[in-house]
Amino acid sequence: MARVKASDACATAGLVSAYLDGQLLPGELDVVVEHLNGCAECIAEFHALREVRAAVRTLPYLEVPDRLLPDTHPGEQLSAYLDGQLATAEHDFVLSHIDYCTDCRLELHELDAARTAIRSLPGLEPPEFTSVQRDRIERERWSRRRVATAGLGIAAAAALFFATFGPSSSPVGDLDINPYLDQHQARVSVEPGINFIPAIAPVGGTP
Amino acid sequence: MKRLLVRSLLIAALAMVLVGAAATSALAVELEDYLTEAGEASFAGRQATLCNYGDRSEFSVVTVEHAGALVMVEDAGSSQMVGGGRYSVAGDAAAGIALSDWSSGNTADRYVTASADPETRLGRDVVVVTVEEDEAVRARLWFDDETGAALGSEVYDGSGELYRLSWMLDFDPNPRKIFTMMRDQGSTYDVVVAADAGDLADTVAGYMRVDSYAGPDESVHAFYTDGLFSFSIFLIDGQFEAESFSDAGVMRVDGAQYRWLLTPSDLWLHWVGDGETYVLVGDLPPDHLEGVLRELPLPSQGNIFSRIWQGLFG
Repeated sequence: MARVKASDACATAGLVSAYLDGQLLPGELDVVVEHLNGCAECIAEFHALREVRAAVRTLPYLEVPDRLLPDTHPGEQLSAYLDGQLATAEHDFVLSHIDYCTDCRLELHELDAARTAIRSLPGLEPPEFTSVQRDRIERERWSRRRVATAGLGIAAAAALFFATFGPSSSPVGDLDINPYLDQHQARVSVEPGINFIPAIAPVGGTP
Repeated sequence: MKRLLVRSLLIAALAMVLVGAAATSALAVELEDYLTEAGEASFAGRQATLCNYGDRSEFSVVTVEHAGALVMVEDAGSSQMVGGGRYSVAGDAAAGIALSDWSSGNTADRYVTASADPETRLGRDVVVVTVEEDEAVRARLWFDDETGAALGSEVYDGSGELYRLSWMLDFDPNPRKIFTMMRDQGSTYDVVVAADAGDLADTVAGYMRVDSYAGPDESVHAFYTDGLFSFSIFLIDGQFEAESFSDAGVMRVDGAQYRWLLTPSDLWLHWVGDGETYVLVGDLPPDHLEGVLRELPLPSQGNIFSRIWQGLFG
């Protein structure tokens, strides 16, 4: 078998990692195996890599702190935070986040300022209605009320009709009781009571 | 002298109580022994069974052969084999069913063996055992001296009316056909496995739930016994009718309605309550059945119109 010199080995050394990951393409596996037979440097690297991977697999699972994650800004929660509508856990998260996140702290200030500005706007009085407009609105309101009352009446009558005459429980299937009898008989056969009378199928129930 | 007399009387009274209690206990044990022996007896013959309930009576004559715990029943040209937790039909290509396991219960304390007297039936020496419940006769059972087989039985309801009777019309202590059937019996069985009983109660009206299985149509099968009588309840999710109940009678218990069927051996009930269908089958006497129904989920009441109609016209 042709041995590969150490000086040539480094050309295929990158494949060792892929070999460990099981990601070699067809044909590459033979190259790596042949190379590992003769290259002491790559054999050492192969073992080192394998040990590192084994060590990594045994590391405990660590929770990454929120502040180290790039996309965990509270966003819309800031508005709810100002309204006092957050649950305790969410409230604590926003509070700890704005402690170190300058962007969110700035956004919170802007939100607060905008709310203050809206609250300070002068109140607007509705325009006065003429007596004609008021009468028309009153008539429309009365008409809508009558339609609503009539609708409610029809719905109530329909509900009463179905409660009175409608089916109370509609069966959805038909049972063949013979399998039930068979299973009952099987169980009774090991019962020490009055089990010496054989179970007879109901008339019409026999297939 | 007077103290000696009092002490003697006390000892005599105590002795009488102890002897009485021992006799009662012995009779109670005797009943279980008789039933166990009857369940394992070997014999053959024709058995007549009659069952009365309401205005209906059902009567049948079947040929039975017992060989140990196995029973062969010939009825209307078909032969069935039952025993050891198995059920199958002779010549049926379909597999029989076999229970995976089962438990055993004891005879309830409410039954007292009042007497065990010798008699002669079918020319054979038998003992007739009278079983009482609340000082009223609940059952009379005739056991063959030689084989232990049950030659006859009578079961009474709570009012003393005869509910069901069974009699061997002829008796042969040597069964034959059953062995042929055992040889020809298929060996394939659908195994019925144990399952959780869900909301079905552990005890109802003195009957103990001893087993629960997965039943047909994805139902739950709970088996209850008091040691003398027994019944199965099948609980099926959804509302189902059963064609066999199309001409069934209607039974009322505390205003609740159940549809019932009578067979020579059992009483069947069907009802729907709270979106679930219940099927009950068992040999328990009617007064026991009513007590059981009072402790089980009730049937749906129906709509206003049907309740008014039923109230007016039944």
